[in-house]
Amino acid sequence: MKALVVDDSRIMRNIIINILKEKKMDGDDILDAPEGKTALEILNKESIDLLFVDWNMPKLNGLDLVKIVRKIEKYQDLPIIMVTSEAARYNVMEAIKAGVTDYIVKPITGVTIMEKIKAYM
Amino acid sequence: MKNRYIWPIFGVLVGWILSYVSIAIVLKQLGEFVDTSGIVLNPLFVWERPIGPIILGLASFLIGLSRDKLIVKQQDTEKKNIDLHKTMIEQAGRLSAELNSVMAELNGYTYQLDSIIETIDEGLCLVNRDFVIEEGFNNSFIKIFGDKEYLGNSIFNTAFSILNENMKKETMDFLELCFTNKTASPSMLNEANPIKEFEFVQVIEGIVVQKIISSSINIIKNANKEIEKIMFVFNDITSANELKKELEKRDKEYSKRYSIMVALFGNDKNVIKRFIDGLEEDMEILSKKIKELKQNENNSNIISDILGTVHSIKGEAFALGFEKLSGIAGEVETFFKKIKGEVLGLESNLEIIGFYEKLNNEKKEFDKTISALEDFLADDEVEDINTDISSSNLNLTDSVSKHLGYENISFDLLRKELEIINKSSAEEGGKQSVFTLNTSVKSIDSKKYKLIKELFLHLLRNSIAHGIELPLDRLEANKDVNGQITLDILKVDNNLIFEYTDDGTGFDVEKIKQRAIEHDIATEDEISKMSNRDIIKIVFNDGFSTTETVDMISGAGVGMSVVKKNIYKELKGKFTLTNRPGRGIKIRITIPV
Repeated sequence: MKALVVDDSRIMRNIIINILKEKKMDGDDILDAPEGKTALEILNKESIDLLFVDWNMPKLNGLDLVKIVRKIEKYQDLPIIMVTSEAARYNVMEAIKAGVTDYIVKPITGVTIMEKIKAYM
Repeated sequence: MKNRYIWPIFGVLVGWILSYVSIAIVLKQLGEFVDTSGIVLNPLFVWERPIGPIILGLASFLIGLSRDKLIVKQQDTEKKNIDLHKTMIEQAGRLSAELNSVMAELNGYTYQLDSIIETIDEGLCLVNRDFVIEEGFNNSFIKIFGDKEYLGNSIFNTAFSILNENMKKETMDFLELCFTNKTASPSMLNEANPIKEFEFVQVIEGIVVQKIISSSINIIKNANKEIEKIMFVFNDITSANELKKELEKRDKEYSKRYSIMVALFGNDKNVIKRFIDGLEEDMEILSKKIKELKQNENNSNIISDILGTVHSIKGEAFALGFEKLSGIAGEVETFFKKIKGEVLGLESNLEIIGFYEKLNNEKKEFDKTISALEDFLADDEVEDINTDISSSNLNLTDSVSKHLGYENISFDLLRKELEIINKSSAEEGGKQSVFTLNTSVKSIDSKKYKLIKELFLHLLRNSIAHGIELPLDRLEANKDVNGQITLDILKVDNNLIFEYTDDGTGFDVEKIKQRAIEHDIATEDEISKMSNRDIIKIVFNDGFSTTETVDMISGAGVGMSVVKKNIYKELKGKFTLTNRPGRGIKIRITIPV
């Protein structure tokens, strides 16, 4: 199982990566990208099973990235988890429309992440 | 046997012996000049002239009597002390019993709430892709949404009809979204459910009933993993909601009352007493200043004074654990900071009164709690009598100043109060610091005490917020993990000298420059011409702060100006500041006494 973490903040990426490692995921199987373009390159090259995306990123934002990913044939059922600080109903509607599977509201902790991802691991 | 009987007998005996001995000595001395061999000293000689022993006996009797009286008084005081102690213990017992019953009551409520939620009326409703309601709902659903005549497809329409137009549209959009998006998880879809909780009014036998309904959805997929049906589960949560609200209200009320009590019992009594007296004074000052505010166009100075007072209340209340009072003071502070310099309209004036009332109400809450615990503070008076008797060297200046209306306050109290501030500020900021106070002076009059305490309170809080580094940073900088803050008090001639040092980072001149320009305190040109000394002086200006956020410890830009004001204006003193970048600051304050 391979996971990809896309976030422009290095700290946020590390938090998620560390939590995944704690859950016995192999370090080699956890990839990360600081922005959308790099993420798309990795997605094309590798076969990813779980994707974490930050909503607010410069250049290509998380929602647009998800829309592009969903157009890729092999990723139509990929669990995509959005990390966001916005949790209003219309934000959630927007995320659902873009094709997000689930979302985690910041600030995140190990417990909240595990709660969400145990269904996809 | 009582002392008053022993002392006279003892006195007469001693008097007798002394008289005998002294006469014998006199006779022996006389013997050198005249012939005294004819006189034989008979012990009964003294018996015939009893005046000496009688006087001594009488004196001893009086001494014994007064000592007796003192002892009786002391015993009385001790007894009173023990009685008070007993009543305090009884009171604490009653309080804890009351607390227990309250907790039991609350637990009962929680249990009730749980059982209501468990047995709640449920209703189901299945919606297929064509938005057609399917049969397969139970009767409670009908109870919530309408009569039996709506059986069949129209039930959902009935349910729909009670929602307003906006909600109807949102629900349609939501259903559309559910059916078209197969990737979203059920929990996420539930988050987007627009009728997660809604109210509706029903007329049952002529009586209008308002109900609160919650709904959640389940997704039913077919063999191809396509969403086939959406199942709504409706719950009538009206009574559960009411109970929850009631529970929250009670919870809040009790926690408010008990938090004050916990803080009262948890702190040093003398510190609390000073705080409450100080609060009384502060509220008077505030009410006076607010009146002045209405009469003056130019309010900047008055608001600065108000901010200083409110800032002190906020910090002290927080340190002692009076969280609510501290929170309100914080709100008031933010408000006054906002309106500072503005011309105040009717609305602002009303708001000011509103804030003052809010603060005053919390103070009244205090007074109420304290009068309920009257004896809690009465205990102190007994202690005072006790010290009056037991301390033989009664301080004359103390009693004189008491007559003049100035009570002398020991610097020990200052130590206690500043230690509390140190502890709470360090905890708040995630820092570690040790505060030490050394003094060769015992006490100071209460008026000056208040000003001195206030200024060190601000210095200490600023040291911890801005000076002392986080523990890891301190270790990196080769410093003790605990920040060291010391205050030495000594008297030289007619001056009291306070030497305050901390071993933090010292003032960051670059940061001050930057903030000064941002705050329009000085232009870039002016700054470049200023010496480091003059730049540090800016910190003591009104409304200056290098911290972006106003937190509980400091950062409202009030503290340091209070320091300056108290030293120069109120105490007529002066101060010098030594900044050692990276190593801390040293402030020497001299005030005349």
